[in-house]
Amino acid sequence: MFREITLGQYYPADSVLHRLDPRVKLFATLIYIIVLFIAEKPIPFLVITAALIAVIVMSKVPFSYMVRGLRGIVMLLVIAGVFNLFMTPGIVVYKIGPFEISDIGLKNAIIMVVRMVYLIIGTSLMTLTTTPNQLTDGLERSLRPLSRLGAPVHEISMMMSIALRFIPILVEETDKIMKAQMARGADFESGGLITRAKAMVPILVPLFVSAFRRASDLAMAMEARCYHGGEGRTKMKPLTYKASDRVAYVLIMAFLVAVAVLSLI
Amino acid sequence: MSIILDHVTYTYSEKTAYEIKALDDVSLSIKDGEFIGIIGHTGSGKSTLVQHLNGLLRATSGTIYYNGQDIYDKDFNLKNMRTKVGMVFQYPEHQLFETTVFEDVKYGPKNQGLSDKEATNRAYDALADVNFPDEYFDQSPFELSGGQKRRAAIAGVLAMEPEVLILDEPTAGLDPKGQRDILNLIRRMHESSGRTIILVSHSMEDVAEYVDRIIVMDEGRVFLDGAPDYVFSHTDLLEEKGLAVPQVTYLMEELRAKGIPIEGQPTTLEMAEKEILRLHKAGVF
Ligand SMILES: Nc1ncnc2c1ncn2[C@@H]1O[C@H](COP(=O)(O)OP(=O)(O)O)[C@@H](O)[C@H]1O
Ligand SMILES: [Mg+2]
Repeated sequence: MFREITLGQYYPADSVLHRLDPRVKLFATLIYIIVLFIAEKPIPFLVITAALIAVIVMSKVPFSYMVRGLRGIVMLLVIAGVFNLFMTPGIVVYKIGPFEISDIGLKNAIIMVVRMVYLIIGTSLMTLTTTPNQLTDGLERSLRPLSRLGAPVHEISMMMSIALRFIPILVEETDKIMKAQMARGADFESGGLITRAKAMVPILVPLFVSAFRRASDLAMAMEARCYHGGEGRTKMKPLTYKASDRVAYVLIMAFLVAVAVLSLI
Repeated sequence: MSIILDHVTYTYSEKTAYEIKALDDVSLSIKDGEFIGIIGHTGSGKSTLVQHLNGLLRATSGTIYYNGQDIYDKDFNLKNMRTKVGMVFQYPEHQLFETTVFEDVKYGPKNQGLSDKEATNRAYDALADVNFPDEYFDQSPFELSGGQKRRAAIAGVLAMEPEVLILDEPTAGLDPKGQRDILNLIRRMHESSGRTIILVSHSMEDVAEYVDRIIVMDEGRVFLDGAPDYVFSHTDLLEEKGLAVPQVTYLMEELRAKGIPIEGQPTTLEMAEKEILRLHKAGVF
């Protein structure tokens, strides 16, 4: 039950999108979010929809994986939608009992729901096609200019990669420890709040012990290999742009311009 | 007392991109008092299999019967069964958490609903059973040596007085003496209490020497199942799967190839010794 969460959301497949440089994907996601908030009229939304569908098809990730992210926000969507629908003043176009729907309310509700759904699908597309390590690599490279201002970009991204690397390990460890304590008759499900909190002790103590053991092993291993921070450090797989990445940049910019222009006219 | 697995299949991360079929149509019957060894290379499904035997994993399909009762039945008390089928995980010392060894061993019996006094008695007996030195009873379990931690953790399971004891690679990561000690301890437990013991291991020597029945797993299936001499007579099949037979068995086979009339399939040093002496007396050498 655990490994699903542990590998982030990454869906292994061999597609153009998977092979794209993570910096391109980060940039595309940023542009996509901006575009979603510029667009208000139907035509720009049609362009966005077309682009989204094209990218979904290119990604070779089953559609159900993208929709999965939506499950978590269904309630939020419904509430926000309902509030926009009924609470916005304007010309009344529809009446259900004491509730009135205005033209602006209808428009706002639709835009809001579409924006949120597109936002989730678009961002999950990025995490589905990019491994967590590629993501941090991409972030480190994209944020490198900030290190000239003294921001510890390398350190932060190293911490992020290590944290990401450790999540699956710790989750697996938790699973193992839970099973081991269950085999000793532990019960994590029944009892009141305090009983349940107490039942966590046999899991948390071994988990911390193991996390510290692993952390100190890792620190030792890094030191044994002369790790000394970002200065002058090279990468085994340096990020380099390929022709397809350049094409992608052009397409992203074209997309931004198209939506911006269509929104203005 | 018996455990029966009826066409058990188990898939990890079902319906995701990481789907792994770890058990594939496994049917087994484990009788009371048997001493079983489960072998197979890494990833063959040994750990997954044994975690089904006390209901920690729920089969994707198939049924498991414990003393004739379907353990997936709604009225079946799984928590109760877990204390009857004791399970010592690989690296069990990673589950220690209490402030003292003694308290840690009492954790299982207390979960069974025993009084503090009974739990204390059980803990005392279990620690004595594993030859845990008295002077360390009140020590923090985190300050012990590897072998002692392992004993303390095994005692933690024994203290529940399970009817069936499963040990998943109990000797992994111990020095040769520590390994011997643990295996002898397990054998003693089998001989003195006659309880069913299931030992997961990848050492052919250990398994051959201690158990009465060997189950060989391969890619989630039961590949061979029988007495050690039966299983180890399939040298070719085992080697095909990247496994080996005990060293002495190889030696005896080479002798046989040289024309010496070896009888049976000696799988332990003791058996080989007996056979060689017998041949010597018969004047073959
Ligand atoms: N928690 C888990 N999640 C996903 N896959 C797992 C998990 N545990 C084991 N597996 C996979 O199931 C298969 C069988 O593993 P396991 O039963 O641990 O084998 P063994 O104990 O014989 O080494 C392996 O392919 C392993 O990668
Ligand atoms: Mg295993």
